[in-house]
Amino acid sequence: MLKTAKSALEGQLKPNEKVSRLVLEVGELTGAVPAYLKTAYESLKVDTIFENCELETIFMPGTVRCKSCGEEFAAREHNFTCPGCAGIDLSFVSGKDLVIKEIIVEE
Amino acid sequence: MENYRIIEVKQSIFDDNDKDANLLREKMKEEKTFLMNLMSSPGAGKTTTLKGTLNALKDDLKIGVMEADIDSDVDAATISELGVKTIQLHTGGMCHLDADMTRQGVTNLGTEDLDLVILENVGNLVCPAEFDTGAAMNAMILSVPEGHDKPLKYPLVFQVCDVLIINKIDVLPYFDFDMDKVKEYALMRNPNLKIFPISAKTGEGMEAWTSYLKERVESYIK
Ligand SMILES: Nc1nc2c(ncn2[C@@H]2O[C@H](COP(=O)(O)OP(=O)(O)OP(=O)(O)O)[C@@H](O)[C@H]2O)c(=O)[nH]1
Ligand SMILES: [Mg+2]
Ligand SMILES: [Zn+2]
Repeated sequence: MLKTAKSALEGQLKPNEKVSRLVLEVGELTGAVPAYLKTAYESLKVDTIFENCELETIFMPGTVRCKSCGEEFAAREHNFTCPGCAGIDLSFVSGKDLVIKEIIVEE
Repeated sequence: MENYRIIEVKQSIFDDNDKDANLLREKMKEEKTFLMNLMSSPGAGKTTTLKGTLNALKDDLKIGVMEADIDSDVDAATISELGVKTIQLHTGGMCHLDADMTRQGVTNLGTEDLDLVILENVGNLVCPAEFDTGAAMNAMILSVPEGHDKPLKYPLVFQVCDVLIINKIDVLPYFDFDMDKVKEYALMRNPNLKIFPISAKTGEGMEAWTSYLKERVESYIK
């Protein structure tokens, strides 16, 4: 996670700036638990440029689309089974990713 | 925060990991070492199955094992008793191994002279499925007490796996576990899945699984 953040910052951070907040979108279907991510982050950030940077997580609901009838629905709530036609051949719409949305830097 | 600005990133953590994973996969292919990633819920029987697998194959293949755990050494101790080269990887609180941690493990284990390296991933069905470790093959273990509807609840892991081992079939009489249903659900998620029902305890079904693995490894390294 910090590696992605660091490479994104490359050449962007001015000498008088420091990172203060990392905003991470956490997809529901990744199974990543924000509280665990935060704990892991706290131990990973020690001795890096993120030492004094806080982590903010944004929940992204897991949505899928039924390939048979096109219905979009909340995947977990319906056990990955289409409420319209009971189809289980699905494509993912959202909530399957961990994305660093933005990084906030301060002077 | 008087003077601040926002740097838009919009970058997936998985993209970075996927790149690392592909690099590791290429390196292992060149080295002719087959890396297998073994996943399951906690307690489904990864270590027990691994022991049976090692006993069956260790005379024919040069095998190494990487035990990933959040912070214990128990599994690595069990495996090294079999005389197989083993290292413990601590994930430092993370619920999965990523490709970079796997690469470090491979380096520490020293895999040049090995045919097969088995990675026992952290016991968890969700996060490990998301992070490609760079393995040539993904296998998951589902145990009978967990129920036959797991493929419906955790579709991702079934999609990324090549092999599904259904373990603890010795306790089938005591559970409401429908073997046909689980196969049907799992194959709906992934039609190419190879399924092996076994009991790591009694050894039933182990032969089919270990000879399949042996064939996969041999055709990969030749
Ligand atoms: N009845 C029965 N019990 C089994 C079988 N395989 C494993 N067990 C038992 O299940 C328990 C967990 O097995 P492990 O092999 O430690 O499982 P694991 O997946 O490595 O567990 P973690 O590493 O903690 O996630 C142990 O008590 C095993 O003896 C089996 O085929 N049948
Ligand atoms: Mg184990
Ligand atoms: Zn439908």
